[in-house]
Amino acid sequence: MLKESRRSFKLKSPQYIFTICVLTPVIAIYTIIRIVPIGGTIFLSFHKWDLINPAKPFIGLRNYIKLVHDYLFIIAIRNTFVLALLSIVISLGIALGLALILNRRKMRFASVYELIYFLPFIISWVPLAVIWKWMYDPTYGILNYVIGLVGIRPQGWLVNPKLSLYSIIILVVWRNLGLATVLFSVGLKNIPAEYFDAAIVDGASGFKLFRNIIFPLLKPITLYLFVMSTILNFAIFSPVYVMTIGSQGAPGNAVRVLVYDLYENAFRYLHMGYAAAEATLLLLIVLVLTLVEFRSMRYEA
Amino acid sequence: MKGKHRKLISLLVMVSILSMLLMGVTVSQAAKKVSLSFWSGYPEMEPVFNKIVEDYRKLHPNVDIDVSTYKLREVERKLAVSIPTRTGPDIFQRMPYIGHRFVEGGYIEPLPPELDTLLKSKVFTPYHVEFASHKGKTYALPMFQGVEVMFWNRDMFYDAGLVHAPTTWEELIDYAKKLVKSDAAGNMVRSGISLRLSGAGSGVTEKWWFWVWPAGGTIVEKTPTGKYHNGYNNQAGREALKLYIDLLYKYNVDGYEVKHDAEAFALGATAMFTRESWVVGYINEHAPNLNYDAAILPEYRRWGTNINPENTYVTKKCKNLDVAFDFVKFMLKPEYGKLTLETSGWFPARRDIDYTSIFKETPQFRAFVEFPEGYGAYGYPKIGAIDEVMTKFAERLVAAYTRKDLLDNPEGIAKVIAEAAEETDNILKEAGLYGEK
Repeated sequence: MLKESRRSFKLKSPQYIFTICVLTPVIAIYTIIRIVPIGGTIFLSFHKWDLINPAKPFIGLRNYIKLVHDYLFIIAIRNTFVLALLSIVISLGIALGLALILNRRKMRFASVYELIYFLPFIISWVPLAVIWKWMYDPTYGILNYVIGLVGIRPQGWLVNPKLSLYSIIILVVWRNLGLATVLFSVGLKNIPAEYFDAAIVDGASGFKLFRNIIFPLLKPITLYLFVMSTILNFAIFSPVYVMTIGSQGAPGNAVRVLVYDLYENAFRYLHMGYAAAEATLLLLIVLVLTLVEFRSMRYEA
Repeated sequence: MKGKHRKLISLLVMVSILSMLLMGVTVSQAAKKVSLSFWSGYPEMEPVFNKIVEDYRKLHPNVDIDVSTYKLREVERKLAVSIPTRTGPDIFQRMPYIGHRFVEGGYIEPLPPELDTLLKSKVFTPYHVEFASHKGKTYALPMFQGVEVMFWNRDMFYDAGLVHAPTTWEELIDYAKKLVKSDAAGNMVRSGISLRLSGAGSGVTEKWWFWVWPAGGTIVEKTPTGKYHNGYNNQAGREALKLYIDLLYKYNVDGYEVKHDAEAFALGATAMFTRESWVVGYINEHAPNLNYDAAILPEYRRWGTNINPENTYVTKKCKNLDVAFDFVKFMLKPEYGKLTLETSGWFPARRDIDYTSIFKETPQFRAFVEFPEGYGAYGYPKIGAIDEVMTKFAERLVAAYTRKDLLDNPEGIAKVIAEAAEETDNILKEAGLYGEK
């Protein structure tokens, strides 16, 4: 009885009403722009639809069965994992090194360097990709000029299928480096100076200091960067799309990533149901990876 | 007398009322605003479209036509999403394999009798009629078309002791070997021929088509039942791939380390390459001093070129069909055909245009219309699946071109071709278009 009256009191309380009033529009908007399209995509993945013909027959799991046997989907999965893994490992490794250099006590203009490294991150993917496409130009690109200075033969950075994925990884690393460097710098600045002093008194220096003090205390930031980079790199599309445009662009299969494959199936071949199945699988992959990383983050915390 | 006066006055009043009514109708008709939207995938054509709209508005001040041009692939996505939802344009232009999807879906208005007669007249060819027809009705009028030719750099050819473009495969190989150039370190700085080796999309297959067709093959072949199957899992297909591999790795006349396509030609980084007439406009703009010419494609077992008309369609969403079709007809006036050629380099589809003055200025254009006896034409079949066939095959070709191990390896080449052909047939099966040979 007492519980019920408390409950009804709580439901009618101004705070409760205020909370409902504030949350309802947010939840409604989120449902409309997120939950409904996701639900619609999952629904569509069990149908065959070409976008133009109104007929949309139910075909059960056929899209999924076809997808797991599709060599292009397999290539896209492989390329996405290679791109995501390499770009995360390389960009975080370099960013950590840069952050350590920039946070040395005698380092001057550290914040200016941080700003310079961060600039690419705030520029949109499309202009960045266009600029890099010029840099990768086999005849007039700066990269071939630079490697030519040390006697290396010019390379078809984008047009050669053996190099094109790595050319995109270089671009991704370059763009994401700034954010990781700034976040690592913040993490380093937050490590209390007493820890370093105590460690130095105990005789620790160099790699020992890094392994026993810096790295453990940077783990939350490292894990955060891992989660964010995984989500972003699995959904990468714009640079790949721009880099493949035109006769001097990268070959599609060599740089085929999941979202690019999905886009081609949906808007080039008009296999909307098939693309929806692909989108659903991509959602599951990113969800599983994120959950794994969140669990490890919670464990570390 | 009074009666006569009354009758006269009544008659005058009646005539006045009728005149006013008629004037009112005319005024209201004149005031009736008509708005049409027009989409194209050729931004370089925008000045031509704007000029046509401007001239049309002088004759019909009540008609507003909103012209929007997008990149080719972009306009295809927009059409696919907007036409079925009736949010697309009233009029649009695209090649038959894209437009035909909407014809089959029932979203396109058939041509009125006057335009149907025009299409079937001598102004166009039966080839154009075929690309605009579906189940006995016609749905589009072609405005301009892509015609493939061989562009060759006169100065480079003369320096190598050559006076004309290659006319056979043997000449092509021989000329390319003479024209390729390397620096002191052995790095290629100029390709003998610029082959399409990369880029996503169907372009790689399209350029390979120019070699498989003369060899006797094609990309997809129509069966007597009206269905399709691959047309390259044969000697022609194997020979065309072998030609590419030989040019790349036996004769080393092209490579990944040099620039390609029209840009390379304009910059002098290649001696020859195959492309459409828009290259003439591109060179006029970017390399006006380039000494070059255009020639018909080399012969092998047969002779011909790839011709793809750009059709103009009126959608069922259009509320002013009379005006829309009138505008479509207006666009085809010969003076706009010449303007199209001069402005963008795209060749008009109609055959009754006198190009004498243009040929004097730009003789390179001759190769696009002056075909020798027996020179054939082939183009994209009007099936939606062709884009998927061409794009997926292009990826296989791109991968094959990197394989040096295919040199003098007939089994390897046959395997690449057979696997690609199987994929082509599977795409056709999935689309319900496959027919046995």
